[in-house]
Amino acid sequence: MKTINRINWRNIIFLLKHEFQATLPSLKKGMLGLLILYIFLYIFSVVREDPQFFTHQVNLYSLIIIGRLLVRRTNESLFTKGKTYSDLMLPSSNAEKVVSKAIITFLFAMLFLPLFTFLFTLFAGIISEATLHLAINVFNPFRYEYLLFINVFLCAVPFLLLIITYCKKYSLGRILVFTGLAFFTILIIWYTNEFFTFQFHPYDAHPIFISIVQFFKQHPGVYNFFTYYQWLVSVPVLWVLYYKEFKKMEA
Amino acid sequence: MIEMQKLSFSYPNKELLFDDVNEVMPEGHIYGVLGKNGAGKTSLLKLLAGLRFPDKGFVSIDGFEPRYRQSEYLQKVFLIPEEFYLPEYTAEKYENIYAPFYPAFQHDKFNEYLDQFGISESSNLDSLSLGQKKKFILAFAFATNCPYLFLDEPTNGLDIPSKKQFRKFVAHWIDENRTIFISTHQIHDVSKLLDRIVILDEGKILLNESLEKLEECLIIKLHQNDKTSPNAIYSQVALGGKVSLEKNETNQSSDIDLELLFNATLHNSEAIVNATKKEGIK
Repeated sequence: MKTINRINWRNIIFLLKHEFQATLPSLKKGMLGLLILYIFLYIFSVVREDPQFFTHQVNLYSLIIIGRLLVRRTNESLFTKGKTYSDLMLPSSNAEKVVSKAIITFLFAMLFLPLFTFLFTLFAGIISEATLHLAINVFNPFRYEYLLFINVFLCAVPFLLLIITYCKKYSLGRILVFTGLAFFTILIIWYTNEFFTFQFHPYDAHPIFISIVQFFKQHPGVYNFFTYYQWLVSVPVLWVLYYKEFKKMEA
Repeated sequence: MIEMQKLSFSYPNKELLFDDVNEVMPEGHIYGVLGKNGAGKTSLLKLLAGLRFPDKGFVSIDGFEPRYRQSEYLQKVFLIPEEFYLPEYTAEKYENIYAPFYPAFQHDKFNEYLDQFGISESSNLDSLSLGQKKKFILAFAFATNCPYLFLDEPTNGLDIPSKKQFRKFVAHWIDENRTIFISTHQIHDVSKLLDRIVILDEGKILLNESLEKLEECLIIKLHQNDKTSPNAIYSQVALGGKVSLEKNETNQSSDIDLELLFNATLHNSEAIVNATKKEGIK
């Protein structure tokens, strides 16, 4: 019996083309919405005379808005019955299908969106400097906080897909337990990030968390280990877990 | 060739739909999959396509187990479900995006089929009627040259000329290496096409036999009185008396009415299967 699930890059290219074409119309609308939001944030920032406000907000909103669209569109088969048949029957292996979704998510989070935001802030910066003499920082995609946002995003996407795929086939009780666990795990991922960015305010944290932050500050080696762990272990492991669940998906 | 060994399948929290099914289905035929509502016709197609997984046992098609959904396997099968999805593309764009997945896809044939169905390559798929969408997906399916086509209620939504065209396509398309499974309630739309009959009921495949053999082993007789013939495996009231399905004791084959065969099989499948064990007939 032939049971090996191979990866053929030719199929992945066909899948990327297919996913891109399917996502493009919504992505265009999403980018337009994002552009309007950026302009709004920019005006708000100018009115408040707080140029940092703009650069701090764009990271989060852009990932949430476009990320949601991207996840919805590239995984439409999870939501639409007819599309489930069509996508699962597309001649490419389960592994190829998951790899193509991962590639699109990575390209979007690490290349496309930072570039779009960078170009917008560059343009807005030039205008505000020339007209209002207000210096707006150009978006730096290599800033540590943004890289951590990306890390959370790259972990959250496969995790959410895992939950949705799992919930498709199981009864309500198990769904509720699983969703609760999922929510808890996302909170852990989020708070871990807060630790790494030292954004945890001493007044709203338990003393044990404060001591962990202090520990990280005193031991940069351990801190670096967790950073690498987040990128090199958490991200691939969550995508592999999603693949395991995707293989079991029925229609 | 399709093989099912000790196949059991059920939907979550439901009774067994298939229970310990063992069947071999050779390629090169047009199978008519018949059954009452909920008998498992669509589920059988989904199991063959790898969209549902057996609880026990396995299905194998040309050495592939569908549940693994390998690309090499998916290049061999095309399923048109009753509810299917078409994106908001033109026919031409759909071909550009989807055809590369099928190595044996024939562009010329696709255009020819679209022409015959009266669909332009520049048509926006989203604006087509249900019947036109069905014709489009049928044209694409035939052009992929996948050796296994699984069609769930393929004539639903087709007008009378399109049904005729559909039958013509199937008749031209089939050869000894290609297999079509047609699950349908519209038995009269496809009765002249089918050459093997699969009848499902209560978790079992009651009948899996070639129509040729059924026509040699069984005969339909009209009795012009209300009495049931003693040789009848099954009989039902018809215009002018009773029509019965009986064991064919002659050496001549007779046309079989599939509706009568279906009812007879549900009534007494054992007698039908025994009747087909007539010696000297393959």
